Amino acid sequence: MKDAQKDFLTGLFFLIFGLVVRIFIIPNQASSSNAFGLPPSFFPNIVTYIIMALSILIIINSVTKDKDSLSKSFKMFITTIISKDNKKSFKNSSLVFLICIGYFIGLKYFEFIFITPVIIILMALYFGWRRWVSLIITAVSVTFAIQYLFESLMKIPLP
Amino acid sequence: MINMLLQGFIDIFTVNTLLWMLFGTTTGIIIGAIPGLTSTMGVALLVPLTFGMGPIPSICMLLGIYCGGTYGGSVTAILINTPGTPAAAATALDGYELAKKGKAGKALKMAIYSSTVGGLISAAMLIFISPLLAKIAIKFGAPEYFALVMLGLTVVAGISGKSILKGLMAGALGLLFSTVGMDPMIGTARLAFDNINLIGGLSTIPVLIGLFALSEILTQSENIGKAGSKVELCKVEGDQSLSFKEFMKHMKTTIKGSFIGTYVGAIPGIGGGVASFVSYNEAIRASKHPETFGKGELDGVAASEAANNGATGATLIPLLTLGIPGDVVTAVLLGAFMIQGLTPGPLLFKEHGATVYAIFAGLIVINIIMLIIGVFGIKYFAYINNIPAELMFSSIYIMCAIGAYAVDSNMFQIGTMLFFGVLGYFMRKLEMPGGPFLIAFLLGPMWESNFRRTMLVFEGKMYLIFTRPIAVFFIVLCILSIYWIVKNEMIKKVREVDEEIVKDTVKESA
Repeated sequence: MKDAQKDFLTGLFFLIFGLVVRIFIIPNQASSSNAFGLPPSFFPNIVTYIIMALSILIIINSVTKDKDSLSKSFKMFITTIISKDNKKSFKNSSLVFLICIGYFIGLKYFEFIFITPVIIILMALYFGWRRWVSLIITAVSVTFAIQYLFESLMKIPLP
Repeated sequence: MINMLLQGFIDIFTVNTLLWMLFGTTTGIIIGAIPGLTSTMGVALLVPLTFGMGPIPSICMLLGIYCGGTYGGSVTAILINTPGTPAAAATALDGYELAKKGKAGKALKMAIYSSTVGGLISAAMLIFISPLLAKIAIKFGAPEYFALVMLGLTVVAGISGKSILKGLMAGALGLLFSTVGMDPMIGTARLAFDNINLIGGLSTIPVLIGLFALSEILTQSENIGKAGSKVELCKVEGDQSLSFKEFMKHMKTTIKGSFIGTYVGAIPGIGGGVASFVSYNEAIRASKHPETFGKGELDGVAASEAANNGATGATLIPLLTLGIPGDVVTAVLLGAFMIQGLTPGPLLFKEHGATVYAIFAGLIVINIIMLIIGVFGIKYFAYINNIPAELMFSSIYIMCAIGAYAVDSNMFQIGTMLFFGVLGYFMRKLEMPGGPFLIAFLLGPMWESNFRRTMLVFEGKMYLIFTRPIAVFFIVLCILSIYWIVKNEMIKKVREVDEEIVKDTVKESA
């Protein structure tokens, strides 16, 4: 994707984000009572305006950088996303993130000592590591090293 | 001052502190030597280890990672022409050429010697300048702090990288996330979504681990299955000694580079990367044989390494005296100070003077430890690159998750880390830097509370801030720094347009 088109989409995304935060989130989540000087919603509101102003500047900048941006951006964006290379990269990081979430959920149901080596092995296998001996040694030693460090040395109980 | 410094040395000369410094410096060198891992990530990842430690060993360990990481970047810059850290990019220019000529050991020795000199000079400047600045800063009230933090926030523009607008956007996002939690004046919950875990605000550690460490893992995971090029490693064999006489020949460049590094590093928002190039250019300008640079000139390695390590102590000057982080690593260090109950700023010298001087002493010792590890480890550094990335990244993820969890033994913090990991990943995709986000996130609460206090003090008449000379001084500095940044950006734009015109003309004539 061209820089200008990436910038255009960045600006558009944050403009929508700013609007959503300003219109829907701040009025419900921050009091606007000004009994003690400025209300709690003052600062988040100001920051949201800054975000929207910057978004508009980014959009203007991208349009002046590449005059075709407005018309071509979405088309280019879709083409880039579905390009084989990008699809694979995104799939890779999404799957790694899923493993990360798996660890987060796993820690709720299993003890650290059981779930940790499994996740290390899973992640390394997904990364393409196939040497089982070194993999198992690493998984077990990292688990015990972290447990020793946190529980025995720092007295922080692990899940 | 001397007495305090001596007391500082006494405080750090305990087995515990020395071992943590050794651990920090070694880890820093290893992290710095692995391309893709930076000292920022290293410090962020190891901050949770400091929970059970006292302030002196913990800050000294983190400083060890910072200094070691800055030096470690030169190892791969010299051996495989891949700077481990951005600050070592200038080192690769001559270092790798020397390595190709079979003088890798010489280059590595020059790098460690000049890094140590740079680090020590920088530490000395920190020791002499900081207390003086802190004495002035102690007179600050809310209006002065408001103006000072505003100046600190202009750092955001300075470290924006490719696009100032995107850097500012990242900073604005950081400010927005810093408002989550309790309102600083009234104490009511704000943007907390009725979640008890958010009422106290977002914890710094999960935010910075997610933003700098997890996002890196996600970015690196994109390359799974892609064919990587085989790294050609220059061997460190044969006679690689660097005599004292030889080193002294480059002493002038080293000392000059150290001062350039210290000066540039003390300016918030610039950092070691710029310092090393400024110093490298100065070495070329001052050389009688400028044509030898880029072809394996030891002076080039000395200039670059002295400057990037010269910046390490200097970036602590604005942090310790004013509470303003000078770059991204010091922004992470600011979080680490806060975890230890130390709030960087002028009061730090008054309330925790002994700790501050122990940290100063620690910085000197860290540079000496770095020298020892550097000299004896030269032959083994090359093997750092043999650590399999597959095993390393999966283990780092576990450290990320457990580090976040250890903040308050709460699973919610792992969720926060995951959220900011994804945010950091997409910010990288959109070429938005993480540094401005973190600086704004850390300075945001200070800015808001001082702004609102100033409004109360002046009964809403904000223009009265111009009756406070120090505040006016900071506002003027702020305007000047914005002017300087905008001017540089415009010059960059004009150059880009000029280059495009030249390209178009060449195309047309062809």
